[in-house]
Amino acid sequence: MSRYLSQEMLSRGQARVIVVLRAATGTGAAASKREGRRLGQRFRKSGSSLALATSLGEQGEAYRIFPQLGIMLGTVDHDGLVALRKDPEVVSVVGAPALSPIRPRDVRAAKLSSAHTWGLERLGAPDLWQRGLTGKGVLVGQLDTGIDGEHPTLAGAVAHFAEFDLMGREVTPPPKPKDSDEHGTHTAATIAGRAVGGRHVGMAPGAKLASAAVIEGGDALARVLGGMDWALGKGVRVLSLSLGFRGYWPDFLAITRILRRKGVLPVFAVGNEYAGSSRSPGNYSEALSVGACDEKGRVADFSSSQRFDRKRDPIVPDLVAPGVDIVSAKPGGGYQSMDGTSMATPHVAGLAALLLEAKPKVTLARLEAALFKSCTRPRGMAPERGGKGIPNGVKALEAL
Amino acid sequence: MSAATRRSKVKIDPELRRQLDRAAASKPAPVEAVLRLRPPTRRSSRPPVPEAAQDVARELLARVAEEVGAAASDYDFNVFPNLGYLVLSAPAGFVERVLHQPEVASASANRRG
Repeated sequence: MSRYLSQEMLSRGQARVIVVLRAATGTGAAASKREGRRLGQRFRKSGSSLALATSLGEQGEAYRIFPQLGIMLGTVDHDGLVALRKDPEVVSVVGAPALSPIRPRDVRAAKLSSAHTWGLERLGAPDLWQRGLTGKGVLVGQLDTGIDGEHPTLAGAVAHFAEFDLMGREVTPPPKPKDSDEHGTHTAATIAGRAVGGRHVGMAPGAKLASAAVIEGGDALARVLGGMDWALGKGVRVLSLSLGFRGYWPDFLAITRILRRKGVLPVFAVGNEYAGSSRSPGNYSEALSVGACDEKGRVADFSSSQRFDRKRDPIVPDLVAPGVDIVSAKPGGGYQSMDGTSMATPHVAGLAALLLEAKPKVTLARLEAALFKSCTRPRGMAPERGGKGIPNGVKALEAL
Repeated sequence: MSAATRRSKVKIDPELRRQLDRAAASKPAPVEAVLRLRPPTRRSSRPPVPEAAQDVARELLARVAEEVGAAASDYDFNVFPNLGYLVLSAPAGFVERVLHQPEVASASANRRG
């Protein structure tokens, strides 16, 4: 049993696991939806003690089946783990501990009551729109839990959508844009949500998204790599990642450098684990690392920050952006409010898209320098927590 | 260049090393590794161009398969041509041999835990 599984079983008596089904092995063949449902029913009837915990599936089950990926994600106790490992339909059961969307600290029902959210206002997005900038012609990559392509604010925003299996292969036939959670829809709409009834949640309402589902259903490095490779192939200029491994893991370091060399701005969330913590890849010096602030310009208490023993860019985050009480799209329609650096990151990705529309040929170094130059630290914001502070769209445009 | 010298130049993630050792000591279950391909020239820090990455990966794996006497069905892989990476699922011995090849710059476990 892996360290993660042992630790979780000892401390909690249960663990979050990925169950790789036999149909998923081989040369990328995926289990059919029917097979997935059949297996789900079998597990229910078998009495295997799948413990009811987090991550409830569609019918309130303790697991979720990803038929196209041929895997199940769920929470099991010890007996359930033993039962699953003995099952002939199961190839392997592995722990699912590390890579995850950077979960919001809080989620609340919300209505969109103003013409634009406070986050858009704070970063000066409406001022840039008045100058004719909407992000038109800019493709932004977003790797997350997926996206609800039917949501009115995302209508016309999704240029490409894909889902990846555990070996990083694109699932075929390409599924319709869908969200396996609610995180991806929220972050996507903050980047490029269109106005609905004259009300805005998106920084760059003219930008297009290349959105891929790479988490929730198998925390494999290759899934994220598959998404990144695909996004590069689609020609994205900005890559927004609101996910990461807790702590410093060098797995994505070389890749982040490749993204930069290929002219893609890596905008990554720093994490929600308070001061003295951070997540990879958001804590690389090569990433544009984003923390969260509230409407009063204070760094959110949960927003991660850390100093590293390195010459270049020793402090993360590089800057902070609106990440408290952020209203954006909810899968199935409507809106909800979330708190987190996951919410701050797409604000900056969207701002970068607006600037790239203004100067499509600008270098990454210059784009980043302009963003940094536009930052101000409100009184009381320590650089150790807020980096260079909060960016401003108009100032960044002038500095470009 | 000796295999030992080449081996020392490949950065291997400790989690992958643990998975390889465990697999070698028990049943021959496949190990999944994510491999970064070495840039085409020593001075270059760029990954191979997309077409070259596909070719490099295929040649590398075919060579190792021949060396260890493995059939194409014994391993599975996927190349990320724009990044210059590949993911390989194969028996531990096969993965170990791949790690010793000069085209490989670093390696990580595909899954943790």
